[in-house]
Amino acid sequence: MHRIPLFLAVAAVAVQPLVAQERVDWNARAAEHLINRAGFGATPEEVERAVDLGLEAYVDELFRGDDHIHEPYYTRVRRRGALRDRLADMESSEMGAVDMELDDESRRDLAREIRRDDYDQLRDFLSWWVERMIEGDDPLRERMTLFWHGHFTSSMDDVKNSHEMIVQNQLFRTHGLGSFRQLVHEIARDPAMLEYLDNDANRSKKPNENFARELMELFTLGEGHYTEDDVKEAARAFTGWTDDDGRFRFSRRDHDYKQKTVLGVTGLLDGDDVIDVLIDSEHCAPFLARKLLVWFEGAEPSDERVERYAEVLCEADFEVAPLLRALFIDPAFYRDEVLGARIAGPIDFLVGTARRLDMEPPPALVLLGSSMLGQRLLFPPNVKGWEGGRAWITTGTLMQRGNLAGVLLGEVSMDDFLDYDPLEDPTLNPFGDSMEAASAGEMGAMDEMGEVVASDEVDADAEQNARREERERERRALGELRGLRRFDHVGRRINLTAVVRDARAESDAEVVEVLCERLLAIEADAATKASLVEVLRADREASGLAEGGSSQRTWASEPMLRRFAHVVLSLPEAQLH
Amino acid sequence: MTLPSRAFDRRAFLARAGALSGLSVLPSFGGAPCGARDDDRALVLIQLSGGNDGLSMVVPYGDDVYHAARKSTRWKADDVLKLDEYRGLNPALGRLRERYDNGGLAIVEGAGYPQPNRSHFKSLEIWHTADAGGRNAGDGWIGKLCAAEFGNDVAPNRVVHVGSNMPYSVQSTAHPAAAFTAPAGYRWIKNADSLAELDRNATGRDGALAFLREMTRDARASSAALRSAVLRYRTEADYPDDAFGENLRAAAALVNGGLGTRVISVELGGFDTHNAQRDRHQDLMETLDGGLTTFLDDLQRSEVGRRAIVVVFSEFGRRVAENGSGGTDHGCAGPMFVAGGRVAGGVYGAHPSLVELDEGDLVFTTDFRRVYAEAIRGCFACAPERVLGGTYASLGFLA
Repeated sequence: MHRIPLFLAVAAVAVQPLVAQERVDWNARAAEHLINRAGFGATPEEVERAVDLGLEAYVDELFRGDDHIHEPYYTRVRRRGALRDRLADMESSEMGAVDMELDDESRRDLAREIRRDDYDQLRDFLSWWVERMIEGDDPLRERMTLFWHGHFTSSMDDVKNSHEMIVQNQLFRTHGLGSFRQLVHEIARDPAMLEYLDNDANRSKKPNENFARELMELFTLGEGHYTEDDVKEAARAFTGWTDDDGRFRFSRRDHDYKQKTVLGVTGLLDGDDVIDVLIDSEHCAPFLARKLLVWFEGAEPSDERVERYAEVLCEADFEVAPLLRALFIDPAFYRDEVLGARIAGPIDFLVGTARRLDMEPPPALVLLGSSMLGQRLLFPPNVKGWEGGRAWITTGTLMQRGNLAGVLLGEVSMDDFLDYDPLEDPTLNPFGDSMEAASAGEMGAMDEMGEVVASDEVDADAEQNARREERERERRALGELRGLRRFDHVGRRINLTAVVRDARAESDAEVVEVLCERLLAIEADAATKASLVEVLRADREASGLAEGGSSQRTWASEPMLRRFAHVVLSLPEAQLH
Repeated sequence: MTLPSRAFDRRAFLARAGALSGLSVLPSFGGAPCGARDDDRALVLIQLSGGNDGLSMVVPYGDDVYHAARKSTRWKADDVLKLDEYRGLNPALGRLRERYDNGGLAIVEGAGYPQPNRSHFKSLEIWHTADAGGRNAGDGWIGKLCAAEFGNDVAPNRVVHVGSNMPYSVQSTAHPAAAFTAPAGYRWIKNADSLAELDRNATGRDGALAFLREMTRDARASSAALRSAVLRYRTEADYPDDAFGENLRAAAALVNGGLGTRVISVELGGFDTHNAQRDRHQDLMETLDGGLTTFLDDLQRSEVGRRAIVVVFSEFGRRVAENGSGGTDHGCAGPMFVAGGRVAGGVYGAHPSLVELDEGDLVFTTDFRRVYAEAIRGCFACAPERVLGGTYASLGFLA
């Protein structure tokens, strides 16, 4: 055999990673990792099934998905249309054909009713989404929907229309595994986006740059890869892209038909041309590849890795699925730096805990909890979406994670959890935050669309009423949660005694092992496990149970095991996945 | 024998602090628990997120160019609260105007930095790190400040963010901030003792787990004191019934409570006014006016509060010309407010020209780091150069 000079060997190694030759060591740890990242976590039984199936077959299954993307949810109320219809109804029934305007009180009632319907619809939809995450058959699609929701952000706070927010979310669900190119073309016409980034008011006479800038900075290129002139020129290309009653409309008279230059490309560009110029520029593929790698790996990728996955994207003309497939069978996706080293976001933590415990918590609880931990679905904090990673963790959210795990386990009652009046806490509002802003804004919106608010004088009154009504709705929502208390009656029961018994765990150390495996996405170190054995032993003795008694279905074993599970889920280790 | 490492020091300290706070430390105005000193001076940072339109906050009503450029968002001479022949405050800033008249509000004109960035996120990073490199330059400026001022002496209540969205300015590996949204929930309802025991025995691990363990310790060490300071706080100050007012009330509880809190961060969002700016911005000004002035009054109740310095800033101002939707797009320089018992009121720095623009935007006249430097001099012992990497002359707002 020839001896290869060292420098040549180094060069060969540097080129080598472009072709993944080694195979993934497909074991329980790898399978759990893939399920955590491509989905939302799993029980040891599901992990075992994935291992038996084999990596390729399991990945195929991830992409097969279900056929229920559209079917289970449709939007009942398109608010603007509904408003007009009802206005017409009221006028004809109350006043006949007489050409009279509704009095102020009727208008206020109507506005309130419509707003209530709108938020109810949003809640219904969010519950449906959470259920799909917890028990749906298409976890990868929901994982990607969550990704796109944080990428092409829009917030109900600004859009103030549940129908449009839902339509946008469904767009992510439909195309989330498909073509990024198509997704960008569609999002540029999406009514919620048009509203959120003000392109609905981008007219040739004085363009509005908001959408054009974020399209480059956050959606396709990344900061630093375009100039201020590019922003201004691209904004001109999107002039006249607006919406009408919740549908995209191109307004010819507001469009700037003159020549533009974006990223050095000059021509009579319109919005679609600009999107293609951006996507075909050298910076888009690496930008998207990096973001996807960070999302799935939770670690900053090397430049080589970004480049390699950017190539995969380009070769597939920006289809997303081939990149994901390549990633899921890439041994580097399973490296130590990545495995169990990502900080779980609020949804990851709550949905993941529910899945690992094989339970179905009320979606309202998951939504409330996630909001408290900093991830309020359909209300991202700003146009960049959620920062993720370490930003999820503050001293405050860390303790609340422990408390919410207790609520999920029935160890902390809703009364204890909400032992103060959350209605007085303006930062904490699961379904209708910034009530004042929302109601004031909505009243304004009503003005535009249907003259629901007749005069300035009723504004203050209406605003006050709207606020009171929002508070009532909050009270109802939280009341429902309080009423749940220990919600064992919802769905399957958590039965940790059975878990321990089925695993034939007898000694305290074995019980610790079994429950750590079930509850934690990562392997706890020996010292932590030893301490956990002490915690369990102390509680077991205090409960008057002999070692080995944890698997007996006695009045004492289940509460004890749940107390123990609560400790485990409050650990720093439980925040990783 | 080796010297104890920094991590060791930190851990030992936090264990002590945790043990102490477990014994129910009730803050009182007389006493000074947990390392607080009578001469503590607190710095309060209020971030107006989204890019505050400075021209609508401190209105150059005396400038014809302003009126020509701002057809739909402008405030006329009769509307503004006149400060002089050229500038007036937004009509919703009535109570801040009173402050100004009484000499307690400094207005810093034209705050910004060279080579301005019009991205919210990049520009915020620059404000948060006081460095053109943003996050690539390391910790936030408050983290750097704590490292310079306190070295290895760690105190979990020292830097606190009230609200969600903790800014990068207070993120630090050595001196991380505590943060809460709802003070009542700032605790483990169960298992606090077990978790402390587990932590004592945990062995080290790198990366994310090490970070999580540090945060767990900080949570334990700060939980009792912060929680009770805010929940037990009673004040006659009548805060507005909104999130900003509520957060400022908690901030006042921390300052007046003598916890040794030296930096507090609070956010008011919603300033990205690309459309319908006039009304939206005025509402925000009203929120700022009500919350901030109540807060400033409330700080008069304690010696620490009277010495506090409050700095109001935003990531950028907005373009001089309006867009077509009654709003304005991202711009550059804008005014800052500085307030507090030791602040000499008045206008500092020159108003940027409305004619000589950089790509349609105001050119900064005052490097914002001059404000940081002076605030550091006013509240801390360390040299501002150690935090800001350069020398920035004081504006002179500190009497």
